Amino acid sequence: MPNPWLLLWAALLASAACTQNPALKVTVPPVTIYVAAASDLTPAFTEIGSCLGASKSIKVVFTFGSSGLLSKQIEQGAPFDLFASASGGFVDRLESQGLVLQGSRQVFAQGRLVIWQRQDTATPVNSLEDLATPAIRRIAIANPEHAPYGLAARQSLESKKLWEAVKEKIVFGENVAQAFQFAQTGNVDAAIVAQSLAMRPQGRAIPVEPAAHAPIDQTLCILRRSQQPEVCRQFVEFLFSADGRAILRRYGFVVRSTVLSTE
Amino acid sequence: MLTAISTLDWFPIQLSFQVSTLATAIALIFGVSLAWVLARLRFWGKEWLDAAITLPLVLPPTVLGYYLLVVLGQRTFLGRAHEWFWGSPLTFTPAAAVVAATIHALPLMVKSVRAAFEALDQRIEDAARTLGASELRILLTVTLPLARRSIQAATVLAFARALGDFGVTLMIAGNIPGKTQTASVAIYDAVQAGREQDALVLVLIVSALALAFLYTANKLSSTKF
Repeated sequence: MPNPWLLLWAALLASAACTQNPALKVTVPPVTIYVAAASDLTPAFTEIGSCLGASKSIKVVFTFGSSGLLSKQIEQGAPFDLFASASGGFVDRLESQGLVLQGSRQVFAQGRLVIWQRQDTATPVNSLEDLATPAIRRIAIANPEHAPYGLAARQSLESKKLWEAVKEKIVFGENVAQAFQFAQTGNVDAAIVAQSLAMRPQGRAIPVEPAAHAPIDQTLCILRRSQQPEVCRQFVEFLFSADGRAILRRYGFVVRSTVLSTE
Repeated sequence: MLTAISTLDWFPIQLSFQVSTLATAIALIFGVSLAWVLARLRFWGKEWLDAAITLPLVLPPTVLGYYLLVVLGQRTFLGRAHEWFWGSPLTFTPAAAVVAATIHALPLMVKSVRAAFEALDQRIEDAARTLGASELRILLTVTLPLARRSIQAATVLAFARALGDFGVTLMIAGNIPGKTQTASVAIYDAVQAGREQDALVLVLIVSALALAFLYTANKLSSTKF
């Protein structure tokens, strides 16, 4: 006999995070799917995972990492069911190797870029132009060679003709989460990172206009090796549902009000 | 802090200790054998073999992990051979974490034990030989007991290194919670995700366990038999 207080508490927790469908009773044992996701999706997907666990009894085990590393592991046979990349390019590569379930590729959100600084910064900036001032000595971005947010950060600086001026101050993070850490720990004066990571209360985040860079398309696909494509589809459905979109939006992703078309 | 402890997932810590123990055992068996071969036999390419065993300590872990992924991956000869023999692929399983840990533990073992074998007074082994002992008996009753201290020290080093492996494990075993996520990878994951509390708790627990282990190992190895 499960503790009724515990059940009540669990129900409260679940309803606080997501609106629950009362018709769905948790009777089936949870099925587990393994999802590889870009690190910018960490906070949003963690919440989406707990919603699915509560309402549909799907257990989602996430592996967060850089899109490049994860796609390389998938090429080598890593046991994931679904891949959510921070850019479409990595999904292209998997598609060309026949690893993607046909027709499952979808763009589900777009990432936003912000300039992030600690609240206690001595040199607050309000635009990309401000980064060129000598008071800003170090700027962290993700490595543009393989990290989508790093590429977008460089494109933004280039489009404002600032790249040459700030090039010497740039410190590369291995991925966008690391670039954010450099700023969070106060080791750089500012970082240009994903808005989804920069939601901490103690920071100041200045949005970078999206026109300054190519869209950061958050692209997902179901992998052909998956034994649970139907469960993966439920995950995708939830992502595109009103609840799913609300969570993504809350973490700073841009989601259209209607379902995005497949590319 | 207290909530972070009560909600702590012990799986990574348990996995880490299992993986490290297994890796140390493998490194002990192969390491001592290789060290004996390198110290006692003469053959062409001996120093090259020694250098090749040491290489994993030199290469950046993620680079080494990438090469291992390419060599042991599921479409390669070695990967297929493993799957044929064991019935399951090697990469992205706990077994891959053992490979990652062993590869770094082995050179520490080989280097220390080889030096210990070479530093032994050859005349003691020769004395055993003049008394008619077989080479195997000399190894078991003279060489190994005399090198005991170095082997114990090397085992502790190997275990410590195996416990701390991160880069190679992340590449070839992956970061799959509940399956292949070792303590080191779990700490990295928590830091990356901004779960500093979880990371700190894990760091403290792993450090405490490792300290206790290393202390006990030192105590035991300084005991006179």
